[in-house]
Amino acid sequence: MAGAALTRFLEAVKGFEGRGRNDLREFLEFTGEEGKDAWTIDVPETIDAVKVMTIHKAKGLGFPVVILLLYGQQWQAPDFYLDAGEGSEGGVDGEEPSGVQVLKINKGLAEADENLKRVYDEARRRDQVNNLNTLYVALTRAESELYIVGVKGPRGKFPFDLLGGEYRSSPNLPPIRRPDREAAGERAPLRRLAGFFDAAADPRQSLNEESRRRGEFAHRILAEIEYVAAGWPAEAAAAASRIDPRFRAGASPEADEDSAGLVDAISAFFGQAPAAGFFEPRPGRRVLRETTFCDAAGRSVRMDRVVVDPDAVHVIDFKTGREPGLGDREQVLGYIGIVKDVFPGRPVYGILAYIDRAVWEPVE
Amino acid sequence: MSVGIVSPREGLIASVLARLTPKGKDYSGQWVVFPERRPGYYLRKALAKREGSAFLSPRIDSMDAFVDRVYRERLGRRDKSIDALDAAALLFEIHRDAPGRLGGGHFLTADQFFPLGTRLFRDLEEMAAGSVSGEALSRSDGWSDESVPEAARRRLQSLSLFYERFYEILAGRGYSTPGSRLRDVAAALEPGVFADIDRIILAGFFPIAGGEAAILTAMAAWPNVDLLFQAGTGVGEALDRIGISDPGLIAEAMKVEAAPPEAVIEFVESPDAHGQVFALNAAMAPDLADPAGLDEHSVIVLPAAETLFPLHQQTLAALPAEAYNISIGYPLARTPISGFFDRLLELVQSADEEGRVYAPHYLRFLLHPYTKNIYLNGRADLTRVLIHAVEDELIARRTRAFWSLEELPNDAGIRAAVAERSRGVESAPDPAAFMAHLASIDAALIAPFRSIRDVREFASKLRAALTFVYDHSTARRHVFFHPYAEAFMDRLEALGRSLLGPTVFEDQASYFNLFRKVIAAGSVPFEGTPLRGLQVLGFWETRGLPFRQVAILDFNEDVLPASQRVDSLLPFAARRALGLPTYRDVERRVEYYLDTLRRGAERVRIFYVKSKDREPSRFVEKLIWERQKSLREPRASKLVRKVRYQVALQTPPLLPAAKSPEAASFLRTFVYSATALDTYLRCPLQFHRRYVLGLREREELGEEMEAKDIGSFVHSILEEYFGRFVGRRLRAAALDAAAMEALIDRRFAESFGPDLSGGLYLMKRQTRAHLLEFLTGYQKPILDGLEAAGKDLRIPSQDRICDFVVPSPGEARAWGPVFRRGLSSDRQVRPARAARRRPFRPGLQDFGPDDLSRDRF
Repeated sequence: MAGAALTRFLEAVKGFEGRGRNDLREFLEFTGEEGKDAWTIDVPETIDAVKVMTIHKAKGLGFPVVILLLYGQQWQAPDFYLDAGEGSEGGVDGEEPSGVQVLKINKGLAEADENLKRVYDEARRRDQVNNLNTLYVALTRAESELYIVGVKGPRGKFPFDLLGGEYRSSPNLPPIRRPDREAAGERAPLRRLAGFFDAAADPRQSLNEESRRRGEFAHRILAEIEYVAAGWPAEAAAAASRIDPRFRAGASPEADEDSAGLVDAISAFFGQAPAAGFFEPRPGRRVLRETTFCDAAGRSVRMDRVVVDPDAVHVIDFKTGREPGLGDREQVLGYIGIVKDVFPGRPVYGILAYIDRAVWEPVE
Repeated sequence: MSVGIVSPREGLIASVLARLTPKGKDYSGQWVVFPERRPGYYLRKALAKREGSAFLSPRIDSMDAFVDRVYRERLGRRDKSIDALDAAALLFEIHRDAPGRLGGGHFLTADQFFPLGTRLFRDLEEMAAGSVSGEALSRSDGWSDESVPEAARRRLQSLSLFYERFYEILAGRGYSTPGSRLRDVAAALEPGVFADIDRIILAGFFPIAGGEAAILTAMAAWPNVDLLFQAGTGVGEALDRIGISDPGLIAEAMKVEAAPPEAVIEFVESPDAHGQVFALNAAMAPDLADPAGLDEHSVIVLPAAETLFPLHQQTLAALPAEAYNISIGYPLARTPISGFFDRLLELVQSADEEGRVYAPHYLRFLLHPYTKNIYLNGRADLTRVLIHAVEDELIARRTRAFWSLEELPNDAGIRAAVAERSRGVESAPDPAAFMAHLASIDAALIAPFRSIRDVREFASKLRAALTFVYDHSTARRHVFFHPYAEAFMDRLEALGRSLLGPTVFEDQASYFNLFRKVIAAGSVPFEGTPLRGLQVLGFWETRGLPFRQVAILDFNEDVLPASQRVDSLLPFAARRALGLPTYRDVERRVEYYLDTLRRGAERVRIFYVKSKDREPSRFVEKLIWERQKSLREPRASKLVRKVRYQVALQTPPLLPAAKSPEAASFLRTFVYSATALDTYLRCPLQFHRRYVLGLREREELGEEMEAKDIGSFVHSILEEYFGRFVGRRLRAAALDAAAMEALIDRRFAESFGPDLSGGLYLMKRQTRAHLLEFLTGYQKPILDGLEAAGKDLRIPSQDRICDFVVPSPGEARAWGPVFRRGLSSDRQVRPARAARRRPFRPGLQDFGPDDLSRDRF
């Protein structure tokens, strides 16, 4: 099963890919420089080993035995001091933030100016408080035994000045109870499926963005038209104008000029027999436009136009483009099968309407 | 009206199904609305099973689609629908003209404003959908009991201006937004609108404050409307929110809620995402071994999209494609196309005033997998040959940082490198064809972005670049490239068409910033149809669906519930006062849907990551606690299985490397550079690998000059400066600081162009300071001293090897009795004793003869 190193590697890949990157060379850069953390393997909590960590990392944790290494510290003046002043507030409220001052101060300067002294003393006090907090954390991690090993230099007095005299260990230490292994919880079984898998890429050779949009626009125009009363050019143009510009034919406003070409093509093709007959109102006729049918497995298909007459049903599928599709006929035959179920007892006919090729092709 | 409480075990789909009554096989008189689209697929499948044949589907919509359909088809409203991109443009218009602008002097250009604009739009839309009045918003000073800070009150005043102006403009220009449509539909809803519909079922909602609740409230009283709710945590309050307070119904809901869920629940803690996936594989082993048995009643929930690809690579890719569905929105910014555009725009942005591009960025762009696999004569390998030849040459001439796109395909050095690289490559074209190919790549992908008219043209050029990559490179053979490309095309098309389209930026970088922000807000919609097999869904996509087997990954705090909560400019108190959903409402909704998911299932596996920066979700903690109580188990750890890896903590000892005769022979004649010595002192093994075995990293053309490059560059300046003194007496007066400065300026301009920025600017300043100090503070005093003592100093040559011998005290070690090595010296001066050799080595500490201790070798 997966070891820590392999998993760590996969995690690094995940982090890298998450930045939208897919370049092996950049991955090496990423993991070499920016992502050194990517190779850090956390030692499992339950491993039977001494844990070595900083005081900060130990925050919130407890251990039966703690060996604490303390080094003498002295005030390390920061390279610079930040002074936000008082009552500064900025952001999106229309007021300019008062800003933060970056100050370079030493003790002498601080003595000479009241404001600088405030900043200097504040920083020093903050440092002392932080040190005390850290020391508190360090001294309170042990459950049974605490050993402090001090390294006291000539200058660093803290924390030894605080701890006072020498500390000696207690002569009668109780035996340390080892942590309850069971309390760590059961181990989850893991499984890495063997091998790497090739997922098939999309076989399409082109995005066909323009033709896709053109086809979609043509369908939207035709979906707007139930019956033609005012003549095809006017109906088609009015239908096109009702369509949200987002769905216009071209992928850019410049290409919208093509809309006119499409409207003309639609008008010319459907304005003539036999297509025109399927856009005329007739007694008992019902027209279903862009309507969802389902096959016997519950798979939905959206049919472009189904003309339901009392004596027959016609399924018309609109196509744009200069070439017929390989599966066009099979698609319409599938539709016919579905519609037969829905309108039993009526003959169902299929039609492929190739708008750009001006071909009206019955499918049986 | 009929309101029903559905037990999650019974299932929402089954309950809706039972209420649908067709005319023959025709369900078109029925209209079902769910919170999401996906339940519709389940309902159709269930109908097919019941009918045993094909049928005319009922109308099934998500709430958003329902509102849009009613707005357009039923109310006959045909205005232009605008989205967040358009809205950002309109809001920017208002912002520019506003007297007291949000953010004061910030957000002055459209790209800077865009993120604020989209946030603003979200808030305005919520207010519109919730039919908040402008007066209510501007009356914020009346909320004395609400703890709205002063700054937030002022912000609300600005918001009220935006709110009123924005929707005025919409109405005036014939636009609509999802929020305005929802508001208008809610206001216009009456039974007559649906006169031809026999029955309307609204199912699976958990109403919280806002527009959706308004629709439910409006329709709840109609005779032909059924409202179906799943029993789960907090459903009683939710019913109350839409005015349903039937005690019998509430009691029924409470009864289901009080019953303990029947699902077996498992908890798995992992240190990382892959651990979860491996544990999931183990848990699902029987299902994965028999994919035919997987059906749509099993789900893997991914509340964090980032785990989709680990899951895909490690689990799903082992299954046939028809054995699973993925339905989730995957962030566009995480896709490799985003990385490709980053590289392209970084390159374009690097151009100096003369239009020359920065060599490291040019190379990074060429080396991107999409670029270096553009076909030449139908072959991608030839382009790789070309691009690696360009790389060789640019690295060899690394001190030349800027190149024009015109000179690169005409450069004799690159041409020679191409000829060299392509020698022996089968059916390779001649170098001229390679160079023409390089020019064509530049022309198709880089050159169009040198001038940009406006946002519309920019978007169009990006689309053209993507189409070029799709048509002419191997990129389309990458998994998921097609859906990524389509999503990018749609997003870019929307950007070009949006009201931002005519925006003109003065600074080219603004176009690029806008692009990055627009992409950051977009996602690739994996639809997951047709419905089949194991379902891999985002959390919200699971709403109302009947699952028996549930696995939830990344069930972590900041994921469920999300850390962003409600990303709003409106403070909590204001949202509450305005009747808008607060983060608490959103969390209640999360909890409710989790509860219904669990109650409907037979088995629920919960995976979460616990590491130094990730914690389990509060909902997980709650579930564990409930489980502890029911099992009377005080130790939570007993209920959680943990992913643990094998870790060997012992470091194997470093073994001595026995020297072969060849290695020993090599070392005897090896000339040590200071760098080689430094390497040895730092790590003998590294020295062995690098110098004895000759292994080294391939050189890269980095953005920042490496230490050795800086060293070489500075050495070359010194070489030129002192070159005129070779063989002549060097006098203190001849050390001319101005000449040194002029030389530094000239050499930097030659190598890096006239305008330096960032690291190069600093490097020039450092170089100038150090070299002047070297000249005046170090060399000059020495010369002054020599001249005062009546001595000459001459430079006989600038580069020479000197030998020295370190005797061994008898005991032979691995390196032999005598250590004899050569050191390369920067220059030799006479008298040698007067001027101790001081190598100029920026960034490296000096070392003295003591460092050459034999023992250390």
